[in-house]
Amino acid sequence: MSIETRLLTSDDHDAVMAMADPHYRINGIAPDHPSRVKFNSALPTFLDEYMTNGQGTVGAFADGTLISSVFVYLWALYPSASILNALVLPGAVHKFKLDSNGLKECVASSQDLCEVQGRFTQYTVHSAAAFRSAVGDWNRYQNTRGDRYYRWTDAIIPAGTRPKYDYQWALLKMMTWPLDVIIRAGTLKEEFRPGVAEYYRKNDIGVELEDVVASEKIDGLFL
Amino acid sequence: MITVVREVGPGDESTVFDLERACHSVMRTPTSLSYRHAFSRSLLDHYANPDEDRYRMFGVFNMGGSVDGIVSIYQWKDFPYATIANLKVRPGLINPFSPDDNPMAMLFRRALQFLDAKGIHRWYFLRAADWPRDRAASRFQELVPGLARYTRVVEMVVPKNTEPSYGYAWAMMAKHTWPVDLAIECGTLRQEHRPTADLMTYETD
Repeated sequence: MSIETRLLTSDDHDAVMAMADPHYRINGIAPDHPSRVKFNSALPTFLDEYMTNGQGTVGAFADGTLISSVFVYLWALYPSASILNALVLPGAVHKFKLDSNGLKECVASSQDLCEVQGRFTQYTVHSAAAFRSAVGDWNRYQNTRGDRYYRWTDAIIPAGTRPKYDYQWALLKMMTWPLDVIIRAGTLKEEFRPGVAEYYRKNDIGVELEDVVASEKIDGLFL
Repeated sequence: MITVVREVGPGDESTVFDLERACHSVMRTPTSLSYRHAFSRSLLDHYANPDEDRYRMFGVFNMGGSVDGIVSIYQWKDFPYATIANLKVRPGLINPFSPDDNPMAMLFRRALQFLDAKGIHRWYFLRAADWPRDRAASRFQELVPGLARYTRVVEMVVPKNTEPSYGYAWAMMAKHTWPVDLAIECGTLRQEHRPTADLMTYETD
């Protein structure tokens, strides 16, 4: 099964909704939760292949069928981005099978997109429970480019609470959640940053590349 | 040499101005005394003001009570980040290849200690892009062992006489261009040293 990714357009609206609608719950969130309403209303603005407002949706297709998608939001004031709202077509793949459900391709493409746009730090939001329980399985779906990034858990937001900082609040779609939420972040290692690596190569300044610890073999499910 | 590292307060103005008079350049760029004086005045108004919660300045004071070095810390309002800046040391007090402690290392140690206590796990630091990163840097890391707890990257290089595209970088440059290439370095506390490390342990059990 070959998987292709691309930025989605307004023509893909129904295909995305087909992934969202059949879910009774997504990461434990009931369909009538306000977040689902916000998702539905935000979707048209994210189906923009030109990312006019820094917003876009990357989709993965298998044999022409959309099987996974993620929102990408490029921050205006900082060289950062958010990768959010991951969806997977129900039944596209069993979690214990090695076939990809397209999510890792979506994430890899999103990271490519962010890097091209100079957004070298990326934030993701996960359900804490899903993150904990799925992390072993997720290792198999590990983004093949994950070792280019240094990753950390930026914050753990307990259920029903508002985070301290506005960017965390924005990542949570400006609403409290009925479950514990984890904000993860990853920053591109220095040797992969085009402007920086080229500068030091060109100027022949002795750069000691990070003696970076082995990258964590951990990523998570997206909220 | 007995020295004390402590917060700089309003009563330390004269010794900070004295330090400014001794430091003839900023980021390898010669500056006039009047500029340095005005800059220090503005700096002290914020950083040595106990009412300003997000601003702190630390100094290394020698036995005579005068300051041998300063560093400022600005806690960002919108992110759990901080900027470590205005690192100045009286000329002649640092031998980058010496194993002996020096004011710069003392100040950086104090800054990291302060950030730890505040729960700030990411910091930015502006420096000349050609700051040595080989032998002298290794020596500096030995003197500031806390640095090993961070993963450090040069987030961006700002070519000389240019304005960066991001406002936070421009603010770090004191909102003016510089005649030398600059590097914005970012330190992020490694996952295993964060309060959330327990969670990661749980995941891998």
